[in-house]
Amino acid sequence: MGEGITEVDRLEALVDEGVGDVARYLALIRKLKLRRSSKVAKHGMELLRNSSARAKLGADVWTVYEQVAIAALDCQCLTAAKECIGALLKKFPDSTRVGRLEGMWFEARGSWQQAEKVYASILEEHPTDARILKRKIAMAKAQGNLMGAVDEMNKYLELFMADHECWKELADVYLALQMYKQAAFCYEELILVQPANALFHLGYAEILYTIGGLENLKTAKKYYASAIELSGGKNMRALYGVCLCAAGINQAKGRNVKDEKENSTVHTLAADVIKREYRLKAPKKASLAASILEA
Amino acid sequence: MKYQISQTAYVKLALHALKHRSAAVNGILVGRVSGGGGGGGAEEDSAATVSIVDCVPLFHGQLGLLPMLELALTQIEEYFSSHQEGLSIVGCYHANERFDDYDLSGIPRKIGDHIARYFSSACVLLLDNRLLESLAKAGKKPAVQLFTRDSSRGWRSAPGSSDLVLAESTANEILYDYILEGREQSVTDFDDHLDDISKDWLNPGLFD
Repeated sequence: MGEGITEVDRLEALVDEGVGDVARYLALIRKLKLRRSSKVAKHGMELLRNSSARAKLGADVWTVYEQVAIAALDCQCLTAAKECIGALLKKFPDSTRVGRLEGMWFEARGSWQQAEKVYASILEEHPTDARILKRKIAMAKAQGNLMGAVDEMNKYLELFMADHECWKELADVYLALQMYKQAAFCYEELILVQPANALFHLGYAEILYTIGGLENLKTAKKYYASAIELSGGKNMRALYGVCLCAAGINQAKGRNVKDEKENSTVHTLAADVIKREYRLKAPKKASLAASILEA
Repeated sequence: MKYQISQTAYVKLALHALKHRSAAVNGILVGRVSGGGGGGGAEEDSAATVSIVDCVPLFHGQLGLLPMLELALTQIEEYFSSHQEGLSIVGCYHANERFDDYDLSGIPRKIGDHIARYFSSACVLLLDNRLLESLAKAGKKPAVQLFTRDSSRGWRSAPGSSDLVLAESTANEILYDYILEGREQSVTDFDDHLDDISKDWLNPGLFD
């Protein structure tokens, strides 16, 4: 993912100067699912308003219209978005995919009831349209109705229980509401769906540490350790995490000799890696990191 | 108790929020107490001033988790007490995810509570998007809402925000110029540091 971002940044700089390949830039943004709305809207609209550039896109032009419409909505450029949506409506007059964009246009204006109407009419014919169901979740969130968003997500997950993006979104909302046990449950589902994803092990560990208590610290340490392994020993949060857990376990009430023995040496190894990384990449902070780890 | 915020701290926290427009952000405020009567009663002395001298941007997106927060607080306290005369953690700042959300939610309250255990006059600053949007007309008013703890240990907004002043009257103009330049892209927070430790959460070159 890192190399992808570097390539996008490189293309973006060229495009900003007026010499880059805008179509390629937009395609890479779509592929990496980045949210760089003001650049996409600006360069995208310029490309779409230029008829020869538009023609060169071939069949991709419709995907680009959709991408630029959404970016324009994100920047509150409602007229530009309307232009793109208009073009799509002409080509695909009965499409639910374009219907979603019409709803989003109302959402961007804060016209929630009109957006609701658009979505309700699509759902009448297509009651399990995932894209539209996701808009309902997004609208609840946008209006600050987090418990409503939680409800909608739970309903959605009954239909689409393997949708890990939704499990992750639900976890994030639970965390914002400080409902840590529920967030932990979501991460358990995420780990089931993608057991080799280091970020899910990491997220689970962070939540358990936050809930606290000796048993949770011990489990958190295991998941921080597996996150280290799955990330090839590179994830700084996981490395720090095992050290924090070890310190927490040592100070925890109710710990016994068995716990201290089991509080294995993984954190000493992690501490060594952290110190070495700081000496290499952040020498000015190396002594700060070292003194924190000694404590 | 009066509160004052330096241009450095104020511009940095605003730029941090502007870098991550679609996410909540938070950070730690660093400063000192000055003025007022002597002795241990200084915190209660209305002539005393808490000067917020600098800030450390912490996280963007996910703000409710403890481990990296604890790590950051330890490193920040350690750094400022050993490198900068008399500076310590005096509060935190928070910017909500949504544009029209002016509530101080549970997470900044909890962080504020934690800081208040070590510094009883701790404050929480909540970014005010309305004021940030109209910076050109803001003049000498900072685009943040000040919250302090009242006698029942709850967080209350100071009436009329007259209790928080900008130490330098040029702060809003400078911020406005930086926004036009896109300077917010250069802010590094603790999240960025954890992703790449060569990035410095002290932001040494930010105002060059």
